[in-house]
Amino acid sequence: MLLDVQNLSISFRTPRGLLPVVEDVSFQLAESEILAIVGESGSGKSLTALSIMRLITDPNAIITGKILFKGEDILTLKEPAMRRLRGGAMAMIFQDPMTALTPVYTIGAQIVEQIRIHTKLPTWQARLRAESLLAAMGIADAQQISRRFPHQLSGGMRQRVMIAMALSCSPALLIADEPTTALDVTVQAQILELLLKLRKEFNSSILLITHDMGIVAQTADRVAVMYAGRIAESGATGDIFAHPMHPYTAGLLAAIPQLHGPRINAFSAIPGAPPAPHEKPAGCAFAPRCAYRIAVCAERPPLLHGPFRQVACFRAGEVA
Amino acid sequence: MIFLVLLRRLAEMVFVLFSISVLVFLIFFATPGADPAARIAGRGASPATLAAVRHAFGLDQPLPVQYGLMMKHLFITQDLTSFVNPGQLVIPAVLQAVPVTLSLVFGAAVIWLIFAVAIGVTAAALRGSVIDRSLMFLAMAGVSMPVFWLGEVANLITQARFHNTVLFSWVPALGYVPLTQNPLLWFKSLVIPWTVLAVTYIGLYSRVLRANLVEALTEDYIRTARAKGLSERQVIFRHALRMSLITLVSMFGLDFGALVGGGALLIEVVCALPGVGMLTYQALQNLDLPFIMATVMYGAIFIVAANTVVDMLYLLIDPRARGAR
Amino acid sequence: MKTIWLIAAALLAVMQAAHAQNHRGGTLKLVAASSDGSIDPQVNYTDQYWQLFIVAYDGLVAFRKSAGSSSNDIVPDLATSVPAPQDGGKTYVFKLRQNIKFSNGQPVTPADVVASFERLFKVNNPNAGSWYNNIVGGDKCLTAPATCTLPDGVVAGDDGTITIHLVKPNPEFLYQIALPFGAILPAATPPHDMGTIPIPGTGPYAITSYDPQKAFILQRNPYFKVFSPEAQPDGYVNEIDFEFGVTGENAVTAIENGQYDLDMDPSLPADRLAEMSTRFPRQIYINPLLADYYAPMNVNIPPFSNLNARLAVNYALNRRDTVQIYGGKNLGVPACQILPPGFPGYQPYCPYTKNPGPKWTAPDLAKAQSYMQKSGMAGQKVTVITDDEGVDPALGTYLGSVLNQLGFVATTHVLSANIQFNYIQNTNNKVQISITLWYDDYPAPSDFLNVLLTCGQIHPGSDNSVNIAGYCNKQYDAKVQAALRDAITDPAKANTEWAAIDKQATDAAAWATLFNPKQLDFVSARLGNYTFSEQFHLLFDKVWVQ
Repeated sequence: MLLDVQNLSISFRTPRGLLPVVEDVSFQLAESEILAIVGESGSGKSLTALSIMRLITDPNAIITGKILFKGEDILTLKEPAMRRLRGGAMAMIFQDPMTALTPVYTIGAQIVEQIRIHTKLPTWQARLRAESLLAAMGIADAQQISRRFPHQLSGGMRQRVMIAMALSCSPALLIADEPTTALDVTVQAQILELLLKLRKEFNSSILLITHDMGIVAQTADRVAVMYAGRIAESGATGDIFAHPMHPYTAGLLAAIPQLHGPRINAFSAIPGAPPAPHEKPAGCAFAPRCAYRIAVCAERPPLLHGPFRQVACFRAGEVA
Repeated sequence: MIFLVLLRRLAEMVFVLFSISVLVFLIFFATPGADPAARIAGRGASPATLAAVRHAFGLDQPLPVQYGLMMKHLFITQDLTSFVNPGQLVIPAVLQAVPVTLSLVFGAAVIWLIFAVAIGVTAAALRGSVIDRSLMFLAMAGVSMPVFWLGEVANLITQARFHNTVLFSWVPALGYVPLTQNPLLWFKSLVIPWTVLAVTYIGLYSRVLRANLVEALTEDYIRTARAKGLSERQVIFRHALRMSLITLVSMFGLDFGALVGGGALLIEVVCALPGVGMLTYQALQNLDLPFIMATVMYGAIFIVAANTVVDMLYLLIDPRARGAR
Repeated sequence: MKTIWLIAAALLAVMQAAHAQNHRGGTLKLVAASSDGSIDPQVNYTDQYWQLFIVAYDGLVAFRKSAGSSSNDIVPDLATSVPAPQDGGKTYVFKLRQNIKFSNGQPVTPADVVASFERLFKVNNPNAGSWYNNIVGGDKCLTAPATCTLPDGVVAGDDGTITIHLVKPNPEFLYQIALPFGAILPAATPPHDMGTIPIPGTGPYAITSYDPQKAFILQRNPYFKVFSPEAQPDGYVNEIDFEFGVTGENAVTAIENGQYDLDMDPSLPADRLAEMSTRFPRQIYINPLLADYYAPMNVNIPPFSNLNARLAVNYALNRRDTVQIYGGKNLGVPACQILPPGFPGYQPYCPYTKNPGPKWTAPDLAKAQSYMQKSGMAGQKVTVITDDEGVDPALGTYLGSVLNQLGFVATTHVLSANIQFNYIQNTNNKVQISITLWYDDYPAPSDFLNVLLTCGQIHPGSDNSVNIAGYCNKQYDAKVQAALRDAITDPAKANTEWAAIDKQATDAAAWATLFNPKQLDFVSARLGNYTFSEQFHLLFDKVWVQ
């Protein structure tokens, strides 16, 4: 087991009191596996990803639980040790490639910087490595590109650069936070293909954060669905798509616009909106919008149960 | 490409100089009581003497002719002489004053840059803490103190009240000693003026730098830098500070240009340094039009030049400014 | 017995000589905020530079270099003696001393004297048109100064004499040539304002360099030998350094630190007076000045064209308050009249006080109010014009408040000291009342009563119209002319006439005289033998620094 997240909770100290944003999240990621975490904006998926890298710098954040990376609880690591992991054994790429690179340094320089932090390679060797990485990401004329500045590249190119940079030190875990959201659909396909190639050629595990069920279907081995800071359902992608057991998952799948079939022009949306962190109901957070709700749903939150296929719903088996 | 830009800047400079010189000329002659003839002629001079003086100085010519003659003497033949000290050549006097101002401004600039960066970075790194708030309070105090007041207070402390104590007995008499004449004395007599001049700018620059840094630290590229495994110190210096430098360099270029061009006037007068600022001040006090014109022109040239240099520097430090490719 | 006295006298002389020898040497260090114009003694009209010119140059005659009232006396300088005027006062014959050299080694000849007088016109000396055109041929020179010759006015004789012919007798002629304007310069001196280039002179010190931004340096004249000890003693210091660029407060501190010996600026910062007088009382010298601080009132435009309004102001003014502003009773004496005390012909006279008599005691507000009512000028807008130097802004504000109390609507404008004096003279500016100062050029009453209050001194539309009040009274003018005439033959009679003229001018209330200021000199601890001439103030060839 490469990554084992156990009961991760993230709360923020605010003037209004303690705000729970991620509650009791657990999941696992094996070697060479792609796990997708799906959810709407505000479901807590990005924060979960950031907490794995310990990149949450807000002094008012309280993070509890265990994050075991290669068996070690990284939440208890001292900062220098964590820094060795960051960019080394675990790397992250972010949503908006347009602003993710420092404008005043060349592409090559920024990749070399990361390489030189984690390895003892001399600069010239690091430069060569950077160029070969860029080439591996499908960038033609890698040598020229590595001498350019970020503002001279397109969004798709920049995202490739980000991926190349993230991979520069051969990480075992790559966290990709909505890597294609800010890109064109055509470029999106290329990036996804790249991610799949990575799993094959670099043996990396990928934690893919997304809100797009389509991407999940294309790339992920397993998927975890998050709602209002909790995991609603998780399991193998095919399983979940074929037989969703949580009303929210069912709703998400039903909301995908159909190009074929009887109701072409109909959009089916889930009525209502997710609750804000400080307005979460006592029981199941989805209950107010759930067609399957019963009395107990308002009293206490349902727990995830099940070995390979986990669902947090009192009426799990009854969802059609 | 660069050549064309420089050419355009040169043309702009000529236009700026022309406009300013005309303005100075008109303001001078529009000021009641500023007519140089009466003051040159002396107290109680008879009308005949007054007329003779007026003629000798060419003050009975029409204004455009006087303007043309002055410009000719200033730029072409370069033998412009003072109204108040007849026979004193203006341009050598200004050139003699330049090293003084340069010494003052350079030294102050070194001090203020070092301290501003140190304070700004510390405050940004420890943002929200007591240290951050105290530093920014001190910086605000520095900005708020008028430089001439601070200079007089510094003189009061170092020359008068505590002059005979160990702390300040090394402070020499007010004035300037050329570097070539006595380097140690040159240094000692500039320490206090350097400090006084730097204080305002330390306050301003540290506050601006802190604000820029704090904002930069929220940017996405900083998150990427952290994700690469950089320490917080490396993140601040290599990425945040490097980005904040862009604003700082343009601010510095303009401030430096303005100071060397005569903006250090107040501190020069208070500390008895015979630089360009002091020359400007005395010229204004004495209503010595040739000197006023020369120092104002010198200042304008410097400020336009500084603007140009800053724009060039911009291209160097911000690759985004080099134009889309 | 005699022997003992002889020995004692000899010992004293030896001691004095040794004493004098002990003090010889060192550099006198002077300081001012800025320089003050040309170093050409025939052009520069400032008290500051006159103090330096008198130790570098000599005229045919000079003012005695001493303290007290004897400093107002004329003594021979380059001439062997002070001649009595001949020919009804129109001719003076001077005999030039022999073997005197300029600081460039050239001998002084009668040709140099002639050339110097002609040069006054060539360089447009400020008083060429009022004083020196009284020399025969002067008026012609005024019209064509560049080619000025005075063949009938200044005549060099073969016997080393110089005869000067005047158009009209002038009892003040000797004063006028004893001032630095009358310096005898080498004939080869170029006929234009020399500005920053030193002119050789005959005094114990020679100007060696002048940089208006840095310093004015004088050093010992190697060719000088004492020829007239009363006019031109040898001097103790070897060098005089006059540095520029240090402003008032810092100059006081520098003198306290011993870095300079004297501040040449006209006024010291008032806020340091207490400190100076308590911590350095032995370094302060206070001397009377022949000067008036006064507020001329424009008698040609409202409201002060009305005599009652002017009288109201004079009665309402609390002159003690103005003295307080200036620095206290040690630094000024309230005054009501035109002539300052110490002038020949001065009779103390003060009508504008509670108990009219010789001295001012207190304002008479009741009388002031009644005159104000009679004038009908209540509610009139008045602008007081003052300058920005020293306590002048405060004096202007005070005068404004007095005017407001009387019922005027007064505001005070502060102008730069460099332009205020010319501004208030120019009738085009319609200045109603202002604050200004007048120093004498020499101790003759006409310097106040003639120069400042006669019709001929009004030049409309000119920056040089020194009768600022614009007072023009034919009767008054006639009396002044009579006094000037009588001064030639009967100085005592002239003095009584001047006293009467002073009274008349005071009663006309063209001015509100405030006070007679005193000179405060703050010197370094090492400065010794401080000698104050009433004419030129501190004498630099009398002081020592070691």
